[in-house]
Amino acid sequence: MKVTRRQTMAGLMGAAASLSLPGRLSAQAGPILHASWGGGVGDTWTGAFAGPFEAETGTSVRIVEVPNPEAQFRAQAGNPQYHTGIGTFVQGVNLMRDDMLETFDIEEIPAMKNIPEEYWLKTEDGRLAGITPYFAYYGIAVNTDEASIEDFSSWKSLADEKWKGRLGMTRPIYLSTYDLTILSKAAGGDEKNTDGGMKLLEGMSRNVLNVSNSLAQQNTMLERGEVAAMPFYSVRVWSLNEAGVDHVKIVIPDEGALLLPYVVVAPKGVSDRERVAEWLNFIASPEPQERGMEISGYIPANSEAEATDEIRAKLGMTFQEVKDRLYQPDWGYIAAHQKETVAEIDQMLANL
Amino acid sequence: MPRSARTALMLAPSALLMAVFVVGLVRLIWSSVVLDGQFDLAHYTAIFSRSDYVAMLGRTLRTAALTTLFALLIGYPTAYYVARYRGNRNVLLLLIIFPWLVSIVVRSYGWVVILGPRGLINSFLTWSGLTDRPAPLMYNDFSVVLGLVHVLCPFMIIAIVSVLMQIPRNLEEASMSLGGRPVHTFATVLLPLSLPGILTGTTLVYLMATGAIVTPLLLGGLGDTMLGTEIFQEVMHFFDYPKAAALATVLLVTALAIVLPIQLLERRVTRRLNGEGAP
Repeated sequence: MKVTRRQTMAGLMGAAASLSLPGRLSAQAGPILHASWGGGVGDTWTGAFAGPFEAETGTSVRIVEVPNPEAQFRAQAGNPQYHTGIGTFVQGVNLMRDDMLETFDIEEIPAMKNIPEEYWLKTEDGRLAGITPYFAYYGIAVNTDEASIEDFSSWKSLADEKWKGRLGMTRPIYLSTYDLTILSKAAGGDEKNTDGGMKLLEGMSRNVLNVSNSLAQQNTMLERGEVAAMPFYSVRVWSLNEAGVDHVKIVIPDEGALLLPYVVVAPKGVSDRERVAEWLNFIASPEPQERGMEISGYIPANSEAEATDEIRAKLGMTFQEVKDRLYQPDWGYIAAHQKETVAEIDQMLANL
Repeated sequence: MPRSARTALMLAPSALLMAVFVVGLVRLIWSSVVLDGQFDLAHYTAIFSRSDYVAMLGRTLRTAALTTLFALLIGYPTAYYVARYRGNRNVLLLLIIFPWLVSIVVRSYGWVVILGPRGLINSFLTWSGLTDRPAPLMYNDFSVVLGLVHVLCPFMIIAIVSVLMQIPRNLEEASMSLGGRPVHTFATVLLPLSLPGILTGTTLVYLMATGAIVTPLLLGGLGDTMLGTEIFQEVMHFFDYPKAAALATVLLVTALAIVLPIQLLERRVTRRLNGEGAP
């Protein structure tokens, strides 16, 4: 068979068009695409949010697991492939600051009225740039075969020399936002006054066995007792406990733990804006948040969400009692100064 | 179709690939030296004014050099054994490349199970009473080099095997029959002839070790951050591409400073072995 040049060109153009079709269709029709971290987070979103939303509205939501939703949003700026995605509050602030988020009026997402304003990600003119579905907290995870819970009743214990080589620690990128903030609070300062916190962080660093930002590795180290304790996420310990690992406990020290709100954001110029607003409103409502709590221990942000007796027993307190023991810093300030803080921590670690 | 047109058509894919590579490289360097449309070396000044970055660069080069050395020390005898194996050599080659079928994360993490504080070796040491607390076998530069040697050694072996297999066995036999001891035969016959493979393997392993991310991240300790890890952080967490580009350019230049002389040496050795330029 002889193929003419024109036929070859037509074939190539047809192939190119068909290859680009899924990308162009993805954010315009069909399911809502929600970018999520993998592992337990993706499962939570499928079970607690996407499934019930589809059952209630008929609109399907596909949870797409990616390593870092923020990176996806930035890479696709101007041509968003996802309708929504989840991030930490700091990531939300950074995206908002770079004008990469779609904003909404409170009347478009009325369920947000039941979420305390301190958890809102909003622009200077009061528009919503993100929805806070839930929060976790950052406390001290303790392997009770290696140490007692009382050993870590204060954040200052982490700097005690007796734990040399027995603690785990995350990377400077998270130390800058989480560890330093709560250690500063424990030292009498806050996110804007970190001198005392930096001293505690330096003390803790001297006790550290290794540094890792792999949550799976941190889980394993805690479970195997390679480290006795480390600052860690409440939801990770919750998952371990649910999986039958009962010798790892999360402690809220006397100075409190750090409240970690998460945000669901929509990229600027998102298509199907109305459907997205409906989806965001569902996320902000109490029922799916309660289901999220049951699945993975995320504490609902909606004030109308209630803890069942079982959940209350597992938490050891009510939602409100947990909230009362948590510290909510100025995440905007932390996000704005993150790079300098990471550089400061990097240099502190290099000179240990 | 004329022969020249056919040749051009066949070369087009590789030319395209090279063009993409070169354009990428130029853009990388460009983005590191242009700030707001102006030529500016601010990123480089910032890098070299920070003592932790300078130390990190030194650590990266040192780790890569040690990794290359140990990969060569392990890889050469292994490659020799494979090249001279009289049975089914393909089975051995398959065993060497078999680890590539497993994710680098799993391969690196496997060392935690062996060397970690609750790993096989430490469990034995504490069980037998030889030590009363776990020995620091992990989360230091030792474990990083060990993990990198494990991951990169196959590249060294394959590079050397391919050359050793071209060396006729009777050259060694001739040397031995003329009274050459094994060490002398190795030093005067085998080593010079296999030098191109050694240099290729060295280049490959060194370059990959300088840019390593996963292994140092999983097996390194508090003070073992390498430049590759830092670039990863700048791209994935801060989205600071110009700074990442500057760090990558520094890595590229320092790696080239080592690799280019190796390449020149390799070319010279190959020419000599082929009898070119001989007096």
